[in-house]
Amino acid sequence: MLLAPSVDDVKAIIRASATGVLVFSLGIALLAPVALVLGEANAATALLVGAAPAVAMGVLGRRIPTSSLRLTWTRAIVTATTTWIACACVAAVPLYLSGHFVGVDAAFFDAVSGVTNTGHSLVADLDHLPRSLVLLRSWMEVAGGAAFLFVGQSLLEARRALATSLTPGDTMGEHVMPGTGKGLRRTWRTIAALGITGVVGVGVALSVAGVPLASLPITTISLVAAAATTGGFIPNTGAVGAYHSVVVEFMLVVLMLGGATSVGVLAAAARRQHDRIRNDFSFQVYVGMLAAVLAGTMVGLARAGTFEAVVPVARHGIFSAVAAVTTTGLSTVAPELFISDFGVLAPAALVTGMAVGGMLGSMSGGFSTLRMGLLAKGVISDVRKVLQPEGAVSRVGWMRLGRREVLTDAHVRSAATTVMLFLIGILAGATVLLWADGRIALRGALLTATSAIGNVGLDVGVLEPGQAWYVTTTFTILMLLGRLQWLGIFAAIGFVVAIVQGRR
Amino acid sequence: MARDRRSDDAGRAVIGSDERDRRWQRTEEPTWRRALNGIGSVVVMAIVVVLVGLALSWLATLVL
Repeated sequence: MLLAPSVDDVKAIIRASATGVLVFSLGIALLAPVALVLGEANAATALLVGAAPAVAMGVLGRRIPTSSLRLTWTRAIVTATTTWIACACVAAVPLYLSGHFVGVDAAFFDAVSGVTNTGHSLVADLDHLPRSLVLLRSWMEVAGGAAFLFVGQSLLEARRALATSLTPGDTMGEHVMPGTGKGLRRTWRTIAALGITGVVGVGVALSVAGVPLASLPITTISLVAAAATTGGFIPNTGAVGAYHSVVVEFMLVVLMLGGATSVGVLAAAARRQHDRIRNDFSFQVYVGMLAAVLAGTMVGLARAGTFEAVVPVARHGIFSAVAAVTTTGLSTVAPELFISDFGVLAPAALVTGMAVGGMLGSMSGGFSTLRMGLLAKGVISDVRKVLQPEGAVSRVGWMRLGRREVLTDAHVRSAATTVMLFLIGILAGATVLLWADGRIALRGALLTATSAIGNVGLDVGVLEPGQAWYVTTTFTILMLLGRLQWLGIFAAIGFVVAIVQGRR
Repeated sequence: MARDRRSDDAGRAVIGSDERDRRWQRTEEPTWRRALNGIGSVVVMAIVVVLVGLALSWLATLVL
């Protein structure tokens, strides 16, 4: 039986969502003067047309009187979902008005791809997209990444227990609010540190690589936002390898790794608590996944004979493996080559890395290294139970930044549910692609579906402008499901159903 | 000269556990230093990834 939410619940959600939309829209509005400076009057108008109503609605929404602003678990989850979707709607307006998208669904697809830090794009003629809209794409990635970090940190802090799911079952606290202050500080510090390092490092590397001074600032910002937030939007057609600079690629590897490392581990590194990081279970699985995907990619590339010398194998293999595990989706070669020239083993390793993704509590997608590790621990626990005498109590635990956690059935169930939902999403996405276009190979369909639901954005030439509406809609939903970890969307749908059918 | 914060008003050393002492030293680091520590760790991680990748690619091309 569903209980209908109170009017205060709805008001609190609208008010909290309005704050998110207001901040996001103000960022878009601030790009309008930049567009004018760049001589892009049409883009400035499009940005204002999109941002102005959203700013007004954000201001009005924040004025809604509520008797309680308490952000309970349900309110927080529904707020996160509605904010993400509302922000994508706002960003879709200037994108659609630019004339670079076939339809509204394609513009909304790109907007969702941006705010979910995916990086898939249906833009037509990217090289002639107004520069201010390239910056809009970067803003979507930064805002989406920051919001994801903020929500994750707030929930983790509020629960004081491991957030392996979005359900409040194992929580110690009912309210999310106590965690928001610390969550905001950690988010801001992480984004600032990665952003400053990236702009300096990538900017210098790009200028040395010969990128013209006129396009240097926007190219730098775009690449840094793409790598550090694991978003993956590139400023021009072509791959990162087009810059022909090992230093640029190394700097992007640094940013990608930083973006996929949990804020807790980064904070421990800042305090030089290296022993805690070494013992952290999630970090150990993350490092293990990186090593496994690196090994699989190298062996696959060597076996397929894609490159003849060691250096190209290493260069493209390292970048591809890091981009996959961190769910950034950047590449040093034309992405179509992943299907045509990389053989079978290397793409399989990359797809596995993309599905698992980076660490929980980072900006990366996938179902996270922690859930992968918990599933493995669950198997170990079951084997132990079989081998031990009847009635013996076996405890399996793991370390989380210096704190010992005990594995419970709820942890394993939660991790298994998420992984299963991810797999269902991959199969659903691949089926829709194969249905829509008979020429698409199964490998390409599976890779693209994994890339969408894992918020990776590695496009192997399957998702292109002019796709059928049901393909864009399916993949838009998959990207949202991946970022909001499924249960967020389910909770929002349940909330709407409860409003209509719930018992009052 | 600023008073050592590990000593009390009378200048006597405040005795605590080694762990607490180390924690105190860590939290007293300026923000820029902590940011450098964090970024430095990520850079070291990237260097390790590159070295491991180079070794693996060399091995893979040698064996296969």
